[in-house]
Amino acid sequence: MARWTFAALYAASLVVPAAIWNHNHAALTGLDSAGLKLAWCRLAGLWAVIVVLWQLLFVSRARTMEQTFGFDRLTRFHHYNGFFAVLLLLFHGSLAIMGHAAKADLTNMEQITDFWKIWKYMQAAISGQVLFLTVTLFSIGIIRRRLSYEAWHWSHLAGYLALALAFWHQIFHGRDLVDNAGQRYAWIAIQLAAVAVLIWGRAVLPVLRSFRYRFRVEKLVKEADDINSVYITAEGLDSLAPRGGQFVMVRFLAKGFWSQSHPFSLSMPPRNNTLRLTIKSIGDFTAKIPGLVPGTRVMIDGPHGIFTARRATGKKVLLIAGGIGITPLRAIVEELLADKRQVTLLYNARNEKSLALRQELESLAANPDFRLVLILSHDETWAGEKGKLDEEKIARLVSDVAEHEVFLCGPPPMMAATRKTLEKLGVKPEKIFTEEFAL
Amino acid sequence: MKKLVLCVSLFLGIAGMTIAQDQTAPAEPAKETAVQTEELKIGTTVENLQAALTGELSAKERYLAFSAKADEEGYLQVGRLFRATARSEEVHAGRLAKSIEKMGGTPVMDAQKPEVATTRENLEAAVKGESYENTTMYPAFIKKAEEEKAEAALYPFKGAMAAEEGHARFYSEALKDLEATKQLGVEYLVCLTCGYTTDDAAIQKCPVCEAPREKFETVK
Ligand SMILES: Cc1cc2nc3c(=O)[nH]c(=O)nc-3n(C[C@H](O)[C@H](O)[C@H](O)COP(=O)(O)OP(=O)(O)OC[C@H]3O[C@@H](n4cnc5c(N)ncnc54)[C@H](O)[C@@H]3O)c2cc1C
Ligand SMILES: [Fe+2]
Repeated sequence: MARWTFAALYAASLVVPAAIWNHNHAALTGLDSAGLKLAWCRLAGLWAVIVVLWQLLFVSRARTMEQTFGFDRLTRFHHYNGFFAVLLLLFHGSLAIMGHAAKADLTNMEQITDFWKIWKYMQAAISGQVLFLTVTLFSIGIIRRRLSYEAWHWSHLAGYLALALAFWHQIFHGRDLVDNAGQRYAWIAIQLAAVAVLIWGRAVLPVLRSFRYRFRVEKLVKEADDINSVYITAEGLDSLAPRGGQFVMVRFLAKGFWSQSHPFSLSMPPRNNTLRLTIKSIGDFTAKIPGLVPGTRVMIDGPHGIFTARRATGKKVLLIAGGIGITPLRAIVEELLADKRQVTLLYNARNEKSLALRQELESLAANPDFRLVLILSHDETWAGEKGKLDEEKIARLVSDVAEHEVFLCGPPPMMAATRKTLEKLGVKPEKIFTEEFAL
Repeated sequence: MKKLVLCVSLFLGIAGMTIAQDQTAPAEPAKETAVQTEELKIGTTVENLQAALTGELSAKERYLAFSAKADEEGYLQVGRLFRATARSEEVHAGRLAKSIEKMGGTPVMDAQKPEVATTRENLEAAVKGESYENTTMYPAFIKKAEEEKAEAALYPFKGAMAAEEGHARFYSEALKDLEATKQLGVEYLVCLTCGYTTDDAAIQKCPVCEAPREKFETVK
């Protein structure tokens, strides 16, 4: 589906309830100030739920959506959309307090106590609101950076609890839902549908796939300092149609591994029922990779992402890798060459020891359509290109860079800087494809 | 991201505008009525609150007496109805008193002694009293409170007015077939926030003040 289709769906999902809300009570006419506050309170509440349901869809890994936007962009939507949801929730909560307080002649504090003590399901709703706020707080950049990925990830589950906690007060106090059974059932149905899509995509599908394709660790190969390749075999892999450059969320079903799933790119075009991941040890999970035992069963959620050779439409393609960002590009090179494109790969690493997959890249470079340039930033003895990948280097190494489509993958600061440089050198933003190794 | 900001500011803008607009909107003119206007003295809002308070307290006493009379005469359903409306007037009185305090006055909790006749006459008198309140007195008081921008008085007046209209309707219905009220029928529910009185057992939200079902008291 096209992007604008989703944009239209998103807009419609807000406009339609607003129209119904307006129709239900001619919401903005003949109301006094407390009545108006409560009317806006209801709209903010309805919208908040819709926006939260989009949150679920954005991370449901539903294929249509993912193939349209890519995993990273959906993750970004989820991030910003979450703040939008909380903003609506804050409106909803404070308007509810102020509106009802005015109608009942209570102070705001008395009204909150009244909600808590007398109103049914409001304890749950208020707890849900607090949970939502906490989850959002944990996702603000400076706080998130202080949390481990796992702490952040688990805190996010509280969001689902919050959605469930908030449900009942809608049904019992939401004027639009109380007054009209049809609207109430429709409301329940869309919430169930969104949750179902999420559970299907995140839990059911990965389990089904693991049974169907019977993924297992075949072998481990050391590629460089701290970098290992994990070969995973499968049965009947063709029907899953993974493409080089895509990534999978893997869960190794072995002691010490099974509780976490992590994303890794396919570092070789899938063939002969084999997937290869090339993993750099940087933290608790990845450090354990060398200890994986061949034969271990693997659960795979994916393939995900749209960082594949299919994005390229022109003849000339430039690939830029920083460090472990080489993994998807290594797979993409091969598919681009099979497609008869002219490919240049600028591969940046710290030193010779940290170059992964060098041999296979060099043997691919026997193809006259493929030019490989290794650039080392911290290696004085290196005879080739040295230092950082800056404007001067790109302009010199790829003189007609503006005529290229560019695939870029590496550490976030390097990606941001390189993107800027490329645009300065005349590459159109929509011709730059990226994959970020961070969710 | 830009779209998001746009969306949010649009929402904020509309919300802000409507709230602001509401506060500056001219007060709606009160309904013109000829009934008993000569008796109505419109004072300051605090004085009006006190007048209404005395009226509600008196009504409560009156309805309790009417209720006892109806039970005595065997009009059990009317007895129940008067108990419900008495409860409703008590709620109104409570809010009016609170409102007087909020506006810096001291509520005087005096009630007139009720005059009790036959149940039919009591019902007729009650219809008159309620109609006067909801078509003449409260509209005038509300208009005055709006002029004075006395927010604290507005909702007690409005809540009471809406309830009195319902009361009058229930009394008129009972009068249509008084004999039938010897059998107990529906129970009444009274909103403890605004005094709204209804015989709809399935009510979920108060149509006047948006209070939930939990705020309703069932009068047996
Ligand atoms: C789309 C994508 C493709 C990737 N491809 C590769 C690859 O081919 N090779 C490779 O070596 N690395 C790849 N990564 C990075 C890899 O996922 C992380 O390095 C790894 O998850 C770190 O886990 P850790 O527990 O060892 O390290 P930690 O020190 O716990 O985490 C380091 C950082 O990695 C990220 N991270 C940690 N756990 C997860 C998780 N469960 N899910 C998502 N992100 C997490 C967080 O940003 C965290 O701050 C990819 C990441 C993404 C998002
Ligand atoms: Fe009420």
